[in-house]
Amino acid sequence: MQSKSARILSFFLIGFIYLTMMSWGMSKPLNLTILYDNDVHGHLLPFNDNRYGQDIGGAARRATLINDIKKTNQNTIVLSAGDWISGTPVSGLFRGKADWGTLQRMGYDAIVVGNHEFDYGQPVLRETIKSSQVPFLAANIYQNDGSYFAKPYIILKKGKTRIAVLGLTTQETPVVTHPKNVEGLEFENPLVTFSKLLPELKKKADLIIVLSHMGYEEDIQLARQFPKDIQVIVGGHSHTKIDTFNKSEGPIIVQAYQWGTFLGRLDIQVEKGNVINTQAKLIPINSQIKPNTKIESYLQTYVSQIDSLMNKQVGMTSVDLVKPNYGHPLSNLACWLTDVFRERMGADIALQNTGGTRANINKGPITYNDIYNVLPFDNTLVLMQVSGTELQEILDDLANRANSGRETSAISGVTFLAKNGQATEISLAGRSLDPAKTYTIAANDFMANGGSGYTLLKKAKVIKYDTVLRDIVVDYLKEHPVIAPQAEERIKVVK
Amino acid sequence: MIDGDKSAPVLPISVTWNGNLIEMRRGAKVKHLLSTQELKWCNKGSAFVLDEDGNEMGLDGTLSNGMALYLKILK
Repeated sequence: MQSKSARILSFFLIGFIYLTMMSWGMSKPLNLTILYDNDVHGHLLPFNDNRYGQDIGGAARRATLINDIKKTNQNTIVLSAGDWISGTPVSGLFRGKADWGTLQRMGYDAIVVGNHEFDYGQPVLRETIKSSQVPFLAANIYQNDGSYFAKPYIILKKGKTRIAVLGLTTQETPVVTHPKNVEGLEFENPLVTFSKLLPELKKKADLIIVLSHMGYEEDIQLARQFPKDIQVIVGGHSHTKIDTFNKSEGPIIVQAYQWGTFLGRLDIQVEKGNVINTQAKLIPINSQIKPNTKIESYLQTYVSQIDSLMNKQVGMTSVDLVKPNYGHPLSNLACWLTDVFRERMGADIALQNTGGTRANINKGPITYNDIYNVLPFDNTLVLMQVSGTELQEILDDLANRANSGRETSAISGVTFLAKNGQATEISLAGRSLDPAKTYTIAANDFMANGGSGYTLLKKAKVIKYDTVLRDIVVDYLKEHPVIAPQAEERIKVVK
Repeated sequence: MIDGDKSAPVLPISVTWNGNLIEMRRGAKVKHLLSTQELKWCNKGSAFVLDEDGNEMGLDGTLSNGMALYLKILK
C-alpha cells in the first residue's frame, strides 16, 4: 500500500508531466500560410500583357495554386484585398455576376470591400454580400443607423492561434464613385476605426491581420501608428507590386500588383502571438499552371455568352458615325458623344478629347461591341464646376490647340471662334460668357485629371462622378434607339 | 492619411513625379501622371512606374498624398 505522501508525489508528478506536455504543445510555433491577391478587376480569364507576358493570369489557374498550397499546409488563409470586379467585358456585361460566382468557388476566407465593389450599384453589392459564403469585410463603412455595412472582422482559428482579419476600405470611396452608389453610407477614417476596435480585437485574437483597400502609403501609416498591434497588412488599391520583403520592426505589408498577375504567398511562423519567421514571394500565374476544371467550366458558361452579348444591338444610326482626327475635331460621332454626356449630367458644356473616341460606327445597327471599340477605356464621366473666368481660360486652351493643329477636344453646349490662340465670340446656349457666373463641365475622368495636357481642368471643382462612358451611351440609346447626328463646326478655326 | 472628418475628402493631393512636385485630384491614378508618350511606352512594356521604395505600380493604381513616383525606361 502506498503511503499518503507517495500518492501526493505521484499526483504532482503526473500533473507536472501533463502540464509540461500541454505547454510544449501550446508553444509549438504555428506555420501559417497567407495567400493573397488584390485589384483583380474582373480579370477572371487569362490575358495578354506587354510587361509580364502573353496568356497570363486567370482565376482557374489561381484556384489550382490555392488548392495545391492548401493541401501542403492546412493552416492556410486565402484573402483578397478588394476591387475584385470591374474592368473587363466579362465583368461588365454580367454586372459582376461572373466575378462573384467565381469568388465563391475559389476557397477564399475573406475579401475587403474595395471602392470598385460599388461600381454596379449599392443594391447589387448588398445582395452579393448577403448571399456570399465568403465574408465581405469593411470595419469603417457605416449605414445611416450606425450599423456596419459589412462585417468589420472575422476570427479564424488555426491550430491554437486565434487570428483576427479586419477589413478597412479607402475613405476616398465617396469621392471616386457615383454618389448614388454610396448613398446613406459613411466612410470613417480607417485609423480611427482601428483604434476603436483594437481593445476588442486584442481580447478575441492572438494575431491581427488587416485586409486593407486603402493603398500602400496608407498601409505604411497604419503600420507606423500601430507597430506592435498589427502583425500583417494585406493591401490593395495602389496596385503595388511588393516583391522585396525586408522584415524589420512592425507589421509585414504585402500587396500583389494587379489583375491576378501574381498570387502572393506569405509564410509566417507564429509563437505566442509573435511572428518569429517570415518568408514571402509573388508567384507568377502563367500557362504552366493547369487550370482548375471546376472554375474553368463555371466561367465557360459566361464566356459562351460574351460573343452574343457583344453583338447584341443596342441602337441604330441612320448615318455613318465618324470619329475625329487629331487637330480636326469636326466629327458627328464626337459631337453626339459630347451631347450625350452633357445631357446626362445636365451640364452647361461637355468635352471629349479627340484621342478618347477611338473608332467609327457604320450606318445601321449599333452593337455593344461598336460602343466598346469607340470607347475602349474604362473612363468615367465627371461633372465639374468652374468660374466664367476659368471657363474662358479652358476655351482659350482649346482654341490654342485648334490653331496650332494639336489634339483638341470635341465640345457641346458652346461654340466659339479660335483665333490667334484665343476663344472669341463665345456662345453658350445663345448667351455670351459671363466671367462672374459659374458654369458646369462634363468630361471624362482622364481629362478631369489633367490627361493629354488638360491641366486647367484638373483645378476645377468636382461636383459628382458617374459611371463608365460606355454604359452612359448605352443608357442614352435605350431612350433614343435611332440616332442621326450631324457634324457641327462648334470650334471655328480662323487662320 | 485622411483626417477624421466624416465628409468626403476632396482636397487635392501632392505627388512627386520624376522629381517634380505636382498637384493631383484625390482618386487620380498612376496613368494620369503620364504624358501620351509615356503612356504608350508603358502600354508597350518598354517603361514602368516605380514608387520611392522601388516597388512597381500598375497604371490603374490609385495615387496617395505624398507619394514619390518615377518612370523607369527599359533599354
